[in-house]
Amino acid sequence: MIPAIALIVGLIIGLVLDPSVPVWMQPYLPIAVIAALDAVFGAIRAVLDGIFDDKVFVISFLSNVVVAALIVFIGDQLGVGSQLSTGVVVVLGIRIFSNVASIRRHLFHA
Amino acid sequence: MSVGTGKRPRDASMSLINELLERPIDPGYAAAAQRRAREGASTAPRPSSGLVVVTLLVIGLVFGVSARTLGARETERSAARADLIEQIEARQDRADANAARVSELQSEVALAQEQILRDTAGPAAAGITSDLLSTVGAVPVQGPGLVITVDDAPFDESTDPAARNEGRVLSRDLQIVVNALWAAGAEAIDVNGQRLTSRSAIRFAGEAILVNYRPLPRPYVIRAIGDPDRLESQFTAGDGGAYLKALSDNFGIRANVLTEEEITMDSASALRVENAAPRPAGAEQ
Repeated sequence: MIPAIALIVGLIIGLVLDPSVPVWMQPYLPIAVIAALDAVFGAIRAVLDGIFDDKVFVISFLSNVVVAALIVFIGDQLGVGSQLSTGVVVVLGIRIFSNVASIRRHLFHA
Repeated sequence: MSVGTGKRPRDASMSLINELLERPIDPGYAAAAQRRAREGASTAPRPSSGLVVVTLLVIGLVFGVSARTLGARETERSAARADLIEQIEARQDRADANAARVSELQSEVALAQEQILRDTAGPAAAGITSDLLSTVGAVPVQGPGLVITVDDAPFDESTDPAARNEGRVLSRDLQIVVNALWAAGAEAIDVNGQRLTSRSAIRFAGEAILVNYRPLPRPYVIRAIGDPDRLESQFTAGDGGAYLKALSDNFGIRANVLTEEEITMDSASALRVENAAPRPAGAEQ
């Protein structure tokens, strides 16, 4: 319950404060969102599986964001930024889908 | 994996996809659970630790900031787009209004000219000048005449591109038809509303036919003012009719010749004075 409240509080703070994101960081925002979604759904699944671990969660979120940002950054430097972004989105997207499917099986037994 | 076991899954080469689909959960969770089990520690999940709360706060922040930033970018773009569309429409309206004003002023000028000529040089000269003005396309004209509609050969998705190209009306076709109409005694001609003058060009630019430097959409409607009976008989009997017939027989280009009781043509909008000199003082009229 507390973690869900923390998520919502963070969301509201972001929406209300509306901090200006520097232009150079803007290409990384969508990737960060996808990586964060992946970490959240992975965590929910782990909770339902009964194997949640706080350290693993924090590290998986941080490493997801860092690696995704790194891939996009290197891609931008090599001139294949959009292709590599697509790769990141595809891989994380498949993971999100599978995790959500697993959560659905846990919750609805269907 | 040793050769000969025969147990190798057929899709073993697609390890990435297998990994993603069968073990999408972060392997870290499973590993941590195993380690805890090995060490005999409690396997109960601890989802409410401070670290988790802070991380979720950060994740929420990322979502919120992204929603703000990316959403705002989209609205900025659409606002700029709407602004541009508005500008284009406003300018188009202004251009149309100006074109209407131009032709209004042109007919005013023509009237005034005729008036002056009638006052100073007599009705005969005025008649000659007004004939000249309608011949060069400086004034709107009305009268009976001939309407020729020319269109590309009919085609659909199954027509192959080469045949489609052959069935296209070319600028050359329009030139020949127009010249045949002049030869048949047309007094004024326009193509899709573009009045032809002695300085008009019918030419190709890419795929489009340009008349007076304006691209025309098909079908091409060529209207000629003149004695309808004479125009029709001379045109169909002459080169023009034969040419249109050859076009429709060989390439399937559609052509349609009609006589019309009343045709109204605008004046040419691109006319301007190139050569003018003041009359020497004291010269006889």
